[in-house]
Amino acid sequence: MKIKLNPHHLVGFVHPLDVIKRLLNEKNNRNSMETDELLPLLSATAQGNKQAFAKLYNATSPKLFAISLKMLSNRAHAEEALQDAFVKIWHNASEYQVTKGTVISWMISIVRYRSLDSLRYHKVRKEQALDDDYASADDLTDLPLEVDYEDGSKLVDCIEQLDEQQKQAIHLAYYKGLTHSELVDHIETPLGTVKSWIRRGLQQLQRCLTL
Amino acid sequence: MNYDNQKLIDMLAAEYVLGTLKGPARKRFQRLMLSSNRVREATWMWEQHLNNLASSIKSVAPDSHVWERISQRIEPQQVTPSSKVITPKASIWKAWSLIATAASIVLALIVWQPQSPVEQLTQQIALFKDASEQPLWFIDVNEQGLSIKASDKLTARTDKDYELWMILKGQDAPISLGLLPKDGVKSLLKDSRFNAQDIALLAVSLEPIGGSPTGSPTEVLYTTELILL
Repeated sequence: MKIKLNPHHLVGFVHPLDVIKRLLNEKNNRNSMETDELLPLLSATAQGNKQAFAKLYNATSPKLFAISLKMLSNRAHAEEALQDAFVKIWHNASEYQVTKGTVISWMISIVRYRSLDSLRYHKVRKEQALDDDYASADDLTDLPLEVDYEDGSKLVDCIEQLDEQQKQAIHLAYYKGLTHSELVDHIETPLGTVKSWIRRGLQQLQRCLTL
Repeated sequence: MNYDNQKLIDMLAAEYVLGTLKGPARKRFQRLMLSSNRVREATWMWEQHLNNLASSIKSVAPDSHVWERISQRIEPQQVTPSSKVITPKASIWKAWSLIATAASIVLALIVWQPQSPVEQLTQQIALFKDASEQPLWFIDVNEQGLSIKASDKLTARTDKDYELWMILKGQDAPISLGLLPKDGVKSLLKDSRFNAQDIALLAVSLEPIGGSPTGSPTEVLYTTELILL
């Protein structure tokens, strides 16, 4: 089968790997802890070095725990998610490649995905429970979010350019793990509008990030 | 849905990373990640971008017992204490270490058989575990085929079958290796393309009774790598 390449399809297309490479080289995105410390520690962890794994834990667990805690709003659940994530990091350290992003980003993803699973599992349990044992499991009282970025990455510049609603929807999804329908309840906006805010916000982010 | 569309892949990847892609759509996307380089790369790109948002979160140190539990789960008998994080329970580790040492000596005496020289062959094994690290299937590859043992920890669904797949390096389409046992031991014939050096990943999928109706995994549940010893 012949594939016809239309030059118009290539205009503006940036290969994701090129973006990752650029991000890794971007001074703006530097993280001294990352290059000096985390990569050697993760490499040693992949070889089964538990001292290195302990150091990796000491260096990253406060940030990763905070991410999980913010999403789950429940200390016990966040501790459980952190444990699961670090056990996974221990077993999967050898799967890390530089093309997957920085070490800390790779670790953040593992913690976030585990926390998302936990969040949805406990929400289902809460909905099924007749008592309110899980009443504090997804406390949303600290919303709307106050977001104060520490670093000046390009993502931060780009997200600041979004409409307020797009930014709020993306923040709530990223930090609190809210689904489309939960965003509908929280922002009191129709589902179609919420989906559109997120989709357009992400498209705008991508355009801004690849410029 | 047209998964060849790069814009669509980018948006699905972004919503996967963000967390708004959920339920069956999220599982479909995870399955797609197994078989498509473009999907994986788009996902890594969004992870690298969006995880910069975490810079706004102020660090919170977890309690020391979290590290203790992680240590227990990764290998209780051999944890090397980091003075900062595990000192309070050091005596427990010491006791574990002594028990483990004694067990190793007993095991060595059982295994060591000087009258029968052991052939030094490369062994290929794989272990599938669930999210809580419970073993589910142990796979031992020999010249004839694959010997697969279902763990006691496996709670298999009676209305479904579990199918084993291999994903070859540089290839998108998973290759079926056969149905996994729900209990006990089962042998599977080795596919002619089964070569440890070429295998990127092994995967288990949940399928209707009898196996995948489409020739592709229906719902990927677990993945693991083939280990060479």
